[in-house]
Amino acid sequence: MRDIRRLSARLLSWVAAAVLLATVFGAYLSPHLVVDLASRVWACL
Amino acid sequence: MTAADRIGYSLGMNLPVTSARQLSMPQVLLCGALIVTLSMGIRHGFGLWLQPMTMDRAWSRETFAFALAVQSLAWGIAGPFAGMLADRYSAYRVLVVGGLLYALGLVLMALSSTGLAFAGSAGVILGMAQSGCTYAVVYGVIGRNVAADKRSWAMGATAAAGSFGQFLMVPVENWLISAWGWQNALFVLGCAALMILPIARGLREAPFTAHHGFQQSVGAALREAFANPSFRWLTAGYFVCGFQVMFIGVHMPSYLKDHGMAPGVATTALALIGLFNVFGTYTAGWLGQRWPKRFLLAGNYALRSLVIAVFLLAPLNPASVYLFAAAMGLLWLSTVPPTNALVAQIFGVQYLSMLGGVVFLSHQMGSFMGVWLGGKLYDATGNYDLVWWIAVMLGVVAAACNLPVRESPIVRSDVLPAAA
Repeated sequence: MRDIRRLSARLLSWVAAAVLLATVFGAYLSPHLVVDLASRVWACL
Repeated sequence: MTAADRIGYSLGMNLPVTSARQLSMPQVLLCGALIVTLSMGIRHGFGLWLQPMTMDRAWSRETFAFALAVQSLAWGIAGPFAGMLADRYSAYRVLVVGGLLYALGLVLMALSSTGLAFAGSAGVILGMAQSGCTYAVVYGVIGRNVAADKRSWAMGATAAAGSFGQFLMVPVENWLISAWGWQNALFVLGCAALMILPIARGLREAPFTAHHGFQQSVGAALREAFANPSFRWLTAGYFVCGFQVMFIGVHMPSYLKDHGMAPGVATTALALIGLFNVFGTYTAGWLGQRWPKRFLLAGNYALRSLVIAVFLLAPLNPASVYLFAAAMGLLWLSTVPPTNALVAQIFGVQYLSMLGGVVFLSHQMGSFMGVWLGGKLYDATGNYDLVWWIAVMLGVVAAACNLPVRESPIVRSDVLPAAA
């Protein structure tokens, strides 16, 4: 029972991390940010 | 023998070295990860201020770039001193001072109206702040409080948090600038930096003591490290890490633009490097617990050279840029956990922050050279080809540098054998 609980907690934490990373990656791909960021990055050259 | 003594034995110090009360691993990991998420994340997006600040203040780009170059060097130069203070007195106090300097530097950066004031705030103060609240100081606490058989993994998890901070803060800072204006965005970040202070309480250690006659001065620790060929090899290899990462980070957008890539390709590449960097640093720490770390480091540098060479020789298109970004992301900061874990493994943890700071100084000198040489050779030749191939060659050299590293703990003949 304790092993199952520990495994579930570990699985849950990995899923949470994956969701968090996917959310941030999605933020990079939002059209507004791409244009905004690209103009700043390109302006630096 | 206490649990702490067992850790002391496992540090490779030939005798039990213990702090009076160990911090729990989850506490050290959580607080350390939060601190490096903030400290590494906040600075990562500073390039986003170039356009609004130079326009508002009527500065040249050189003024801005110079301050950031000063910041990198100040971080590297202050690192061994911050590490020494953390090792000798208290990592907690160094973290508090680092957090305060971080907030002060950000506020003064926002208020700077001359190039000199900007170099002082964004350059010197923020560089010193980073030396006080990034990897070297946090790794010292991890080294002293996490058992050797989990140390590399713990360093990898903490480095992954720093990588996540870098990944997270670029869109956050971009949003802050757009929504609040560049000056207010810096004030908000200054408040965020102050969060380091309460979190640092979780890394407050009891006085670190050594018994059974073991005492080593700062000077003796430095002499011992520099006399050790493995330390010199590690330090030389880390120079290349800084060179490659900063050259690619700073000059790749320009390289892509020269080759007619759309602006969105560079931002997606940036996102991919950030994403895969999180996986890479965590995995490097985890692997460091299982495989010889010198092979991990040599493999990392050799793979970097291979990836860069393939990128240069393959036809350039968005797909090849994304593949390159993902592969480099995996290798990006994954040198950090094995390098610091090796320093702890060879020399013990009494001066881990200071010795980590010394190795990191070499990294920062490499960073400076990567940025500077990239621009210099671009101006001289009209393209980046030569610098790319220098990066490839340096990767091979760094791989060779790490192979002769001896991972076994240093034997100290002047230390009394431990009474178990």
